[in-house]
Amino acid sequence: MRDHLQRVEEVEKLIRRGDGLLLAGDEALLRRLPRGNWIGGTIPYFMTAQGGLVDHERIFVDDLPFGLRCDGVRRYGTGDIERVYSELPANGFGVAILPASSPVHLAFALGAPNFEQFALRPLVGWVSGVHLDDLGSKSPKVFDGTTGEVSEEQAVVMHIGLPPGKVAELGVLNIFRDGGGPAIVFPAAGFSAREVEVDGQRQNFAEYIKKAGLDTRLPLVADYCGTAINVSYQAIDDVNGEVFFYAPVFAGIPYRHAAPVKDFVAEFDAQLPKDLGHRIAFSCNCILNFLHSNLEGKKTGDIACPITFGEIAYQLLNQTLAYVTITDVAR
Amino acid sequence: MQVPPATHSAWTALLTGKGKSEPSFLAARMLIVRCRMELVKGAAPDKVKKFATELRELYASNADCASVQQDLPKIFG
Repeated sequence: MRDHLQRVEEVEKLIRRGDGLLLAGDEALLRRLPRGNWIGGTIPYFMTAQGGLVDHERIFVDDLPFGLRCDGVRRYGTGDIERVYSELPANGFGVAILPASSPVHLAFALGAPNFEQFALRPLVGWVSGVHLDDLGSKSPKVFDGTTGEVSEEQAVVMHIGLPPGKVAELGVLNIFRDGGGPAIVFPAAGFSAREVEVDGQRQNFAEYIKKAGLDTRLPLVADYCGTAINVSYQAIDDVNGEVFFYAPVFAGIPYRHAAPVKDFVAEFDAQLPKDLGHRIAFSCNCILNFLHSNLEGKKTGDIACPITFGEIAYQLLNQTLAYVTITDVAR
Repeated sequence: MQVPPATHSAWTALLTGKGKSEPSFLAARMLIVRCRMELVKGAAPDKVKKFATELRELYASNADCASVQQDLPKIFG
């Protein structure tokens, strides 16, 4: 397993060599880097060869492997994020980074499934964040290394070209399954909800959570034709009866509260396809998995990745490992 | 296996959940759920046709992926 964490001076050398780089790290470190073929986002949490850790001194580096090449970098705001799929390269894929809680993050989260050419080509990525002690005092940022632009408002997307005979495919690893409880259906899409239908009965969601004694460290889970898609709880406002989420819920989709997971690492390792780490070009895992499962110092298979405030595999995900593999063409 | 035209009934079956099997291709799973959310509001033939075309295009554009090649015989075989 490669050591992805590198000092600024080492990353500088890779940039000056012309490598295409996907970077994650402390804002002060990323600001010291020269222009080049890279994008980056702020976050100090990582899963590494040494296990999960917090590091403010080094940058997490994904140096494009398998002959992949940076075919350019785009930045999007709320006015043009809907073009993110239609502008992806025909023979390639995109890696996106969005600043957490920015308007473009919210616009992408809510609108992505209805954007033109949604999912036609692979889009993987993550939501940048800050150390949890810095919430409220520092803002998540993204970096466009090609121009030196730093933004807390825009999304940055690297277009990545594939070498001949290779194909990119997205995957997710989600250890959560629905717990078999009642179906929870929301009347409208959004990052918060008051009224819901629980097995057809309309009620206040905050009250229901309290009454049912739900552990809100576990996500809501929806069945997307066999793939479990999570929505994580952010907070409950008991006074106003409102429940807030880290990703939007969508109207009409039945969600169920997830079943408890006894041992995250054991469950993760059991679900991890063999040798997946060797085929992955980029991956990311969720800060909530890191926190709720105490992943600091623990390893999750042979996966090394930034720990993020949200994951993207076509659309925004929560409490999930998202990854892109590069394999030979299948036919 | 070649990707059948959008007029093939299996695309509609897949969109409406009446198909022989669920797809393994992640993009298709996500697109289908988005389409089903729309179809719940009203499954007008034009809308179904539009979604079938979109789903077919998704498979055709990703025909080199292993999961797409696994899905095609399951859906159309």
